[in-house]
Amino acid sequence: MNEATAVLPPNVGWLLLALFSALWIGLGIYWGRRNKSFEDHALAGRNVGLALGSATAAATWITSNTTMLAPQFALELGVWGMLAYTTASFGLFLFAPMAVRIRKLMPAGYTSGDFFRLRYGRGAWSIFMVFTLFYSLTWLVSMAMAGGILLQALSGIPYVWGMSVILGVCVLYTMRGGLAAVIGTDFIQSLIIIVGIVVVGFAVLGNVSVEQIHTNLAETRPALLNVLFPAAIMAIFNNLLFGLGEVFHNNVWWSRAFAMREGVGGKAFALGGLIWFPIPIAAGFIALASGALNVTVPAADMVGPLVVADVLGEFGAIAIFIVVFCSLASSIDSLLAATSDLLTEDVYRKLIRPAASPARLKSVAQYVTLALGVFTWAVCLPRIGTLASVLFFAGPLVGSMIWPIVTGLYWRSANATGAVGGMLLGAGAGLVCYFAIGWYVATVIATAVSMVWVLACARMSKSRFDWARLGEAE
Amino acid sequence: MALVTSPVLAATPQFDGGPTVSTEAGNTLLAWQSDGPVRLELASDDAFSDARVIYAGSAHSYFLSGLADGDYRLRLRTQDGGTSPSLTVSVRHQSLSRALWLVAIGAFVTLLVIGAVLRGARDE
Repeated sequence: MNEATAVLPPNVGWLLLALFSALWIGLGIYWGRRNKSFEDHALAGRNVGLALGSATAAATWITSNTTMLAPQFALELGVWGMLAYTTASFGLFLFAPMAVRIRKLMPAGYTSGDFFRLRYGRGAWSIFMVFTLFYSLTWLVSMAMAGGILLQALSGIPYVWGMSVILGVCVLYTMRGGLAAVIGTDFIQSLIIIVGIVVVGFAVLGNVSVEQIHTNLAETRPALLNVLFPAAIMAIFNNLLFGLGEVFHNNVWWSRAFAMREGVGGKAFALGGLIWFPIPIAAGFIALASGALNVTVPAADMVGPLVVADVLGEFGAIAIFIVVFCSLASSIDSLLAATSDLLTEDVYRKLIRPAASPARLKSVAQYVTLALGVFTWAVCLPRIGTLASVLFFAGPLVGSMIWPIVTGLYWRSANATGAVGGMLLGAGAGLVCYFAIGWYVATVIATAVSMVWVLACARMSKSRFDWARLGEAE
Repeated sequence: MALVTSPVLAATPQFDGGPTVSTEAGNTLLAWQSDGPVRLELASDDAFSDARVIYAGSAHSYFLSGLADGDYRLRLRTQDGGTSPSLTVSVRHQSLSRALWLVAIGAFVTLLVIGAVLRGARDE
């Protein structure tokens, strides 16, 4: 991607950035005015309903990757690549019943760290914390960095300014409004993203038929239509399991499960998955249409904006700028809130100050959010391109946590030996395969190795976990 | 300085990197240096007997994807007849049998995860 591909004048970009920044900060302050305690701040008073719950699940999962990487997947790996990206929706579909279980077993829980500590003890909790912080911080850094790069590519706004503004805005409204502000802004952001993608999809279809797209691909990029395209078919389950691992373990999703009203979580995550499912298909379809529309693609990660700007002109360029800004903000705010809650609850409250008052915990969570923002900004400032790719190392880490979590929630025979061994062996084997073979096998191997160990340990275990112990979280 | 503005140099575009690029996924990012607009041609033989123009314009990069197994030749041509040395893109897709094995493992693990979650939810 380069600045020569900017589809908007910088002054229009700055105007849009200022308008949406003011809107999110204003709403964050408004929604945060009722937060008095840590529970209000971290879990929105455990009173989130179905509409907000579904929207926040979908919006958080629509990252800049969904709007930018899904077209890239389609352009590189064809129809299978596009479908491989959509498999990430399985994470939300399968987390739906798990959210019901989590809410039932841990009615007073705060974080996914609480689950690991109470279910498997300190050893497994420590490994979980290392894995999840690595994943969360690299995701946060990659999103903030993508924000600066994308705003520069779309409108010519300098990288440092774009990255600083988007990160600063998210830190401000997350600090002030907590999860209520995050979920509220997610609701608006999800509506904007969905309308934007639908308008763009129909606009593309109005300019070129599916038959023309197929003919063009068959002539110029035949492998993209090949049902036995090796790299593409390998990506399907690797991507699916990466998505499951991300959703199953991360506090972004657990905090929402705790925050939703009883009986809401299952429906909200399933609906969120349904809302999310067509987004990468629409985004990927746009990329596949690039050849038939005669749009030149100088870099794979710019295919989405270039096609949209070509089809819809300046209106399309404004739409894609807003969609990208919303998809970045909806993920950065969620990561800031969930990671800050994890550090406040699992480290400050459980290890440093168990007797801290609710007001004190809220204040600590706000400072942790600010510290996370400053840390992320400092890491992103030098714009080291390879940093964003570190997120791909997280595939084996998150894949290795799938089975300890699933069996830990449903099987009384699941035990700490299985969880610790599953995470360490799975992540180790996955990372070895990552370097020895390639990224497309890492998560599959990590999950498979972890599964064998966890299932074997559960099978041989004579201990039976008392579910009531999970209710001790408070 | 006179050399920099020499019409001979200005007319000869160059691909970045070496003369051969290998890919296992049928895609690669082509980048080049040129002083003006170029036409990017793709052919299946050294003589460029079946060359077709896949890009024409002033950009300095092009993302090529969806190529089947084979060796492809590319060259850049300018309006005044300057032609770059050719670039060979060698496409050898990964082993299909290995890919299918990995798909089978991934499908098996995924089905077990789905089964464990749905059975757990049903038994609640």
